[in-house]
Amino acid sequence: MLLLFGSLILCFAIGIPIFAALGIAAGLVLVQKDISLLSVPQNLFEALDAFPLMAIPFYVLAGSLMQNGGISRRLMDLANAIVGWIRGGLGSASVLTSMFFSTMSGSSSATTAAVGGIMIPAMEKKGYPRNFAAAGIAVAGELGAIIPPSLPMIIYALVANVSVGSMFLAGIFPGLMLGVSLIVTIAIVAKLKNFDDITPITPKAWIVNVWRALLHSGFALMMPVIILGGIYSGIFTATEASVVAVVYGLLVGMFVYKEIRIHDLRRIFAETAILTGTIMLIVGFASLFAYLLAINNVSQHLSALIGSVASNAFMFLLLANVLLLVIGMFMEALACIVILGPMLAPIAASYGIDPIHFGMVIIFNVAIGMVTPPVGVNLFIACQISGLSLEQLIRPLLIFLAVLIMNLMIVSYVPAISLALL
Amino acid sequence: MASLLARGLDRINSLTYTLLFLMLAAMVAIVFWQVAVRFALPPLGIIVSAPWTEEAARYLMIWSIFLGGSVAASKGLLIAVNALIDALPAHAARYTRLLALSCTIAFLAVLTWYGWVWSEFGAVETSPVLTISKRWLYLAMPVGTALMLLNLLSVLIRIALQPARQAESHQ
Amino acid sequence: QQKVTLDLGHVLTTDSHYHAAAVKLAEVAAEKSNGTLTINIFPSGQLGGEVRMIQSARTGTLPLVVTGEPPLENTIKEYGLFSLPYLFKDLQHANQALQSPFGKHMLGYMDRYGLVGLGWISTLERNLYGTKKVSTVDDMKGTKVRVIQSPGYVRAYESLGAQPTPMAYSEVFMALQTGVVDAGEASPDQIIQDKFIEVTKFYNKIKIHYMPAVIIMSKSRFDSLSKEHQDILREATDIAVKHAIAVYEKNYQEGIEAMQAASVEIVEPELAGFRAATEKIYAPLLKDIPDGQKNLEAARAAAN
Ligand code: NA
Ligand code: NA
Repeated sequence: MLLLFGSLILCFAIGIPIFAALGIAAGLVLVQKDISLLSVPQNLFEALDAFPLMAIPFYVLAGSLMQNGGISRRLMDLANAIVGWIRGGLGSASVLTSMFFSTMSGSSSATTAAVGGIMIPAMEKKGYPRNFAAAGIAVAGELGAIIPPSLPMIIYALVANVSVGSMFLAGIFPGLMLGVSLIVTIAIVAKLKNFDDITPITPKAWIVNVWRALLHSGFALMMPVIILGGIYSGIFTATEASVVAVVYGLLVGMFVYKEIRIHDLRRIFAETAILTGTIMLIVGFASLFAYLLAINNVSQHLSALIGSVASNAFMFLLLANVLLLVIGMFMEALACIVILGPMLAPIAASYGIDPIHFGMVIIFNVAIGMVTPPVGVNLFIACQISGLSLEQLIRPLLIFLAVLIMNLMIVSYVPAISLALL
Repeated sequence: MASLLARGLDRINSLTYTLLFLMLAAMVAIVFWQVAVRFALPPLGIIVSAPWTEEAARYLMIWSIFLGGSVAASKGLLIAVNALIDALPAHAARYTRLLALSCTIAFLAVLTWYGWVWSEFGAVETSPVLTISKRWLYLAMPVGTALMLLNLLSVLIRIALQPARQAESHQ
Repeated sequence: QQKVTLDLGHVLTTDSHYHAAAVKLAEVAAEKSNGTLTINIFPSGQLGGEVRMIQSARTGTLPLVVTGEPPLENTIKEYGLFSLPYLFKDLQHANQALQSPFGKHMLGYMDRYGLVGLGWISTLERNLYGTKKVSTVDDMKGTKVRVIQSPGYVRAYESLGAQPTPMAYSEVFMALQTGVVDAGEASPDQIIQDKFIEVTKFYNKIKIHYMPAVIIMSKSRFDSLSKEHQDILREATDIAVKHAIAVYEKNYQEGIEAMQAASVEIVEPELAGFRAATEKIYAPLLKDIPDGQKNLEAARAAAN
């Protein structure tokens, strides 16, 4: 165990790619235990040869098509028309855009990149402190993982053996709740720090603006209707929905908005495949790592340990949250799910916690992990866009983290928020 | 020698890039067909089944993962934690980076070897629906990891040959 | 006697006859060997899926597996025979055939692939469950069925006019709920153990496949055992097989009763039409199965 985690941390520290770090740590233990290294390819192929994973390249591709096809810009205009006039309106519009974008993209890093690229400079121009804008966009990007469709949910569904479609349904209310609380947070901070004041607008002008933006973004807004509608009316499965999103994004981008040209396709598709490759290698090697934990009975030890401390579901959830938050600080989100999901889900079930509800708790935690230093993919993207360092983002992040943890507590202790639609 | 490797890799990577486009496009077409035969065609009175779609798409995906990883390696896109390296002084960062690259390359060499052995072992298995030898699936791993290895080797040589003070600007 | 510990894996729950076979095997082996032969059981896919466990047995990483037969077809082409529709008359015929010299002959094919076939446990009767009632073969037309990815299964459903659809097992529940598919195919005990009962309105006993299940051992691990331990394992298998067959019959009955209690309609279609419709795929399928014709005749002749 010491060898496994010690070598993993060392590999992470010197900057070895995450998939290789997981693989090296696991490989050393295999050698030490005298288990054939053939179990490495065997594990990889078992983990990756799963149809539900197909949704990952497809939802990444759909997100890229939307960004290239002018859909995300139209969503931004709509969000601005709806909430742009309130106190902290531009920040709120960023959150709302992230929510719209999240209904089509499964990835929170894609959401952060798509929204941040335009919104961070715009917010700065309107008087927002740059680090506050960047932190806000990074946090709003999390919605990409919480509002369906969601790559982390697909992975959880796979490792915990639950339905992807049910996980998607579970994410709707937590996502809405988080979105609204982020908007409120931004409005309050704007009021306290006195920037981005209310823009007075008559109700009539508001309706006209929103209506006009709606007309412009109609095709974009149909996307979630088609995806979620198709899943729940039985036309296609949650996995297949991802391909429908791609085809719809292609049609709208190429023939309706005419912003994607044929010769762009090679780049868009190939870049998607490259990004997906890097993500899936991590998923594959994380499952090798998880297999080693399983054969070492770590799950049983952990469950005995938790059992000795947590006497009820309430205590268990508290422990699980602390564990996930701490690990989420250091570990990449999908690897975290692949490794911890199969260990914690059975323990949660033994406390009578619904696997879908517990899945939502895990998803919410890893989403928070994306904005907690030192390893947080959304933070990295926001830093890149804003040209700030990680340290400069920490102060404004603390405000948002408080809000996130409040939301997490509600998701943890009010199962109905996740399960109402099931 | 080093530049020969770099030029050869450029050509392979650009070929792989096009291949990745084609494979992902094929995956989209295949899975969309899977939905269409169930949903769009029966109302037209056409009942066909396409049991091969799932398997074909999965195998393409696995190839695209390993090949995508190889191009990512050439572009420095493999996801890593660079917080510590960034905090180090340039000189130390350079040596740490070289160490990390060497470890990764050694690891990839082991992966390539066992991936190859596995593809030999799996040659007697056939895929259930397409009934092709699973060797063609399992080869994705040694091919992809070998290309990754070569790409990282090229990066390693580049950094090693750079004068130390320029190393900071790398990536 | 040297002490030996062997791991055994299977993918079903602890209620299944796979597990019953494993437990009995472990019990008898421990007893007959005076505790020198210990078998540790890992149920519910803890050691991976069936394909993976079979691979592990071939490499010698995992000594014992209880598995359904279809994943073996990818490696042992002769086993394609078992996916032929209506190969056996009924459950009794299927089980008798597999316990006869024919069954022993079929186990022998494993030797070439680094495996030892210890014994067939009960076959599983595969019927159509879901939201569609099937009383005649005409009702199969256009039915969307999630099936095992094996040529025999796919072709069988195609020949009945159905639309076999590939789908991950974890998606089937929701797919039935929303209507992406109309049916799946499974044995009565699985309907209960895997909770499909909540989305099942009809259980149509079309008895199309009797899916064998088998206890296999890694050949390298088997060869490394002492002669005494090998004999003990063989004897223990015979007892475990009989026990598992009885447990399956009980699980089958309980499954049907549980479905009736949950007001799932149990449909008993007249099967002559089904048999006739699937006859035309025998020739093309047998073409790809080594020793197919010979083994087909042996299977039909086995038992009475
Ligand atoms: Na999303
Ligand atoms: Na983090």
